[in-house]
Amino acid sequence: MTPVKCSHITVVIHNSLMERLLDHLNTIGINHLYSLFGRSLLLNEGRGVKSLFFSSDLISESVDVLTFYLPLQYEDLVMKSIIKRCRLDIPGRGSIFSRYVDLHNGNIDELLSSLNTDALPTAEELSDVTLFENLTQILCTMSKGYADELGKVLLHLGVVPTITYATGTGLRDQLGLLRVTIPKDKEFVSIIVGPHEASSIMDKMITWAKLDRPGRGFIWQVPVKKGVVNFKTAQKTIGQAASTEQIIAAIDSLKGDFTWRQGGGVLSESKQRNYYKGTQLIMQVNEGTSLPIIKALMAIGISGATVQPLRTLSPEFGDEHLVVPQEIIRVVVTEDKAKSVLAMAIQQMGAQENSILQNTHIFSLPVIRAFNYINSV
Amino acid sequence: MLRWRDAIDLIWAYFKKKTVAQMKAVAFIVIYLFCFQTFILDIPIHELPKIILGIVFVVMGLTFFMEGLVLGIMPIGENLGTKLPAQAPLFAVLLFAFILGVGATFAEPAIGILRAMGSSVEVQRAPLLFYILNEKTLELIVAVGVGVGLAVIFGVLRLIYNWSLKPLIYPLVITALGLSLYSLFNADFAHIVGLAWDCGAVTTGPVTVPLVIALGLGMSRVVAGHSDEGTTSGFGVVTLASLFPVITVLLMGLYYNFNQPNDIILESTIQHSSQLISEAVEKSLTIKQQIQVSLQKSFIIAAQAILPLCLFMLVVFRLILRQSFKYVDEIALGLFLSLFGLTIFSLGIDFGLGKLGKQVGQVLPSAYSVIRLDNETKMIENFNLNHVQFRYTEDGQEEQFFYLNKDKKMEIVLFDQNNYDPEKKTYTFTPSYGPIWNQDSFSLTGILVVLFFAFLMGYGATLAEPALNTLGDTVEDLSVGTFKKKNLIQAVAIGVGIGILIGVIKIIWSLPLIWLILPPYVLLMILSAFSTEEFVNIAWDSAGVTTGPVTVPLVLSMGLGIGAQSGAVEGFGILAMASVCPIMSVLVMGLFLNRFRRYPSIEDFEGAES
Repeated sequence: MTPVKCSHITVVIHNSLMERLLDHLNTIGINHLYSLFGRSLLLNEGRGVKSLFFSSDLISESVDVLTFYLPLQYEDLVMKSIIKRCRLDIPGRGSIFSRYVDLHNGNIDELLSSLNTDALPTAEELSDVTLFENLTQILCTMSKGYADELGKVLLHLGVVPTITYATGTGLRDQLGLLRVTIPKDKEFVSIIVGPHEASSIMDKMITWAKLDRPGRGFIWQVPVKKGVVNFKTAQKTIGQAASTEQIIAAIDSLKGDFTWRQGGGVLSESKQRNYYKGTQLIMQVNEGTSLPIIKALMAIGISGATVQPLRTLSPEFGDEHLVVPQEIIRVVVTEDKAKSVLAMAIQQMGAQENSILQNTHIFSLPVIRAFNYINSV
Repeated sequence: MLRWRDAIDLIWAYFKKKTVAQMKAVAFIVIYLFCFQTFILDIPIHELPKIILGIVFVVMGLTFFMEGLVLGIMPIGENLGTKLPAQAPLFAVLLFAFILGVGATFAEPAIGILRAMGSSVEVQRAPLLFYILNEKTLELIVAVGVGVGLAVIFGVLRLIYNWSLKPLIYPLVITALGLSLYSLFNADFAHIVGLAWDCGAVTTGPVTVPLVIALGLGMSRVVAGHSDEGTTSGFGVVTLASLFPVITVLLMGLYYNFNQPNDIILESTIQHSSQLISEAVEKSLTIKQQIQVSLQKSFIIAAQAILPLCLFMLVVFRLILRQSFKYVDEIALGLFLSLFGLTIFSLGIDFGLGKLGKQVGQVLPSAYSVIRLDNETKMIENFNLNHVQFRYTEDGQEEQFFYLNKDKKMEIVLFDQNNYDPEKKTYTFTPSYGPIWNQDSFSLTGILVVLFFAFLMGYGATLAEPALNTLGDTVEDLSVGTFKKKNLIQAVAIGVGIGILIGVIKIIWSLPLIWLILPPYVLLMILSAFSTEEFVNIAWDSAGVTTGPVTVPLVLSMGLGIGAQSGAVEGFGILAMASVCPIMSVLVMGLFLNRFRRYPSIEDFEGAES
């Protein structure tokens, strides 16, 4: 089956704005929605009473990480309408970004037909909304409990991390019952950065999170087509007419990209490291079916995978309120193995399948560079 | 495959990590009890080696039990929760829920605790309470069981149909409070109010809570999500399970209030004497025998709490739904660990922590009044009556006394003719002690010390509660770390501390419970109305998990000690207070957090634009 190219949209949004977002998506006819709970970090620079209640210098906020697919031709309009509706241009409310993916067994026509194009605003109405292009997403998995430290450093660089939980499968599952002694919980850190800073930030993350040592974690970069990024990094008590973030946001949207921020002097040149290119596979499957798939993939050479449970959302539903719980499997493979692993994954998912076909699918996207201990030595 | 040395290294590192975590949880309450008795009450601790052994058991037991919960019991609940609603008709799901609720009540019978709380009840002073506790025990358990069963039914319905928890709470609380208000018109019924609200607090044990929470989480996974529910949609069953039994027990109390046999003045002495015998038997055994007896008892308790429920769920899962687990070996290991852990833990409570608590509880009233140290009763042989002297009180009464050389200090002991045996020429006396802080018979400073003690004991015991720790982990997990376990546990522990403090006040001055229950619950309903759904879920659920196997024995011995001293009719109410106050502290914390995390709301910006 030939893969379909489509746009995979991710919205990271503050929990309190979810209702508004879902309402909007419902009106424009986007109904296949899945979300993950996550947390976003802020530096606590508050003084006074507030500091009594937050002893730590980090504040965690609940966010929802919402994903859906769009046909390429509607990407711009839908994204801009979401930004406008939820005011994502104001720092601190959320991010939205799109990645072009190859959807291997999904049905894009169904998406097209359910879309209510009449409800979408016209391009003219949305002309004041800026979408930034050619960004980079950096993803990092690490053992649970280490993300806050890394997050703090990232915030000082002006990057807001989104953290979700995942379970790791890999070496652990080959230990038999002894696996219970190794914690399977992972934290998944995701950031969106401008193209000019991606490589040096990734390099710094490897150093800070000690990813160049065994068993610490894994990091990789994938291209982001378009997006608006939240970069509110601190909670401050002192009010100003416009916060620094707002001023930066205004300049960003005037310039149309982030490159003008270059030369802030924070980042130095990258070290020489053994990066490799590859492909990221994301499989959405029914809960409980992931284990045999991962086992089959490990037999042909992947070193491990992360699994995250998904929450199925339905904006307004009738009688059908029971759903089949889903989970997503993420795998990063080196270029030479990409083809065979993809073929195996499609075959496995077909073999596993027994209900609701449209909910299980697999897509791939290119990994610009990846790094882990095993491949670096 | 691993070499066995590596395997041992892995297991050791893992074991060490888990044990240290439990040691931290238990450390506060243990050190606190030791210090309080040794330094503040200034009374040496009896049977110290035994108690230390017991505390080691508590730590080990908690370590294994918690691991067993995570590996075995919770996955069973969660797996069943994800499969059941999709594969069984609604009626069957509800039937299952009801059986689960009733079964849980029978598996972890809190009735022993309630009986102990009411052991001082005298037939003449509270006939109805006495009648129910002693004659209608089975009916009482059934009433509680039906209450928990209904709670699980409504909890499941709420999950499947995405009902908010708030509208369920209000009518339940109002009904329970309304029924309790009847106590104002009927003094006999007033004693039932304490029993009923305590029933609500103790029904949810350390096995039931994690099981039910996991079941709820599983079910919430198969229900399409809403936008406004936040991260805690799987909660609420525990809340309902601490409200429904209050209503069923109150209704039962009302029924017997009107259908009470007239001749319920029964031989209350029989029960007391049998209790004395068992205590005497226990004392005559060697430590080894005591451990054996206690171990058997603990094993039966643990097996009863874990096996029937889990086997029932496994049968439903495997044979009726025909599903299989991802990791069968982990489940088996988990069940074994939880059984083993709970046994060791109960043994440790019985042997160490409970004993320590009992000692402190018994001597605690010495802070504000005179107590008799029954453990140290002594006999003086060849007592010479000529050495008894006279003195006068200020209002001119005669008192007889003699001097006692105790640890090279002269101590005055009042002479009582009844304790003198003229034939053997012996004088038996029980040393008395206190009040520590004032020489008056009733000291306010002393009472403040007791209240302070009650607060810190509630606080410390809560830190060690296994069910609360599980809840904290679950909340942290669901909210992806936004809601830290540490904060939840602190808020709940402070709440429990305040609750126990108020409960102690109730017992010292024999206040009617209704006036202590009514205002907080009214306040709670108001607070809940202003709180987010997320915090309402967490706060009300944490109420059910607070009164667990660590807190209850400690509260029990303290309540009994103080109750005996102040002549209270019954010791009920402390647990009820310990369960209402944490709801309030968590809600207040939530309101604070939300207030300070207030967002530049979209309305602010839009308002500025338009």
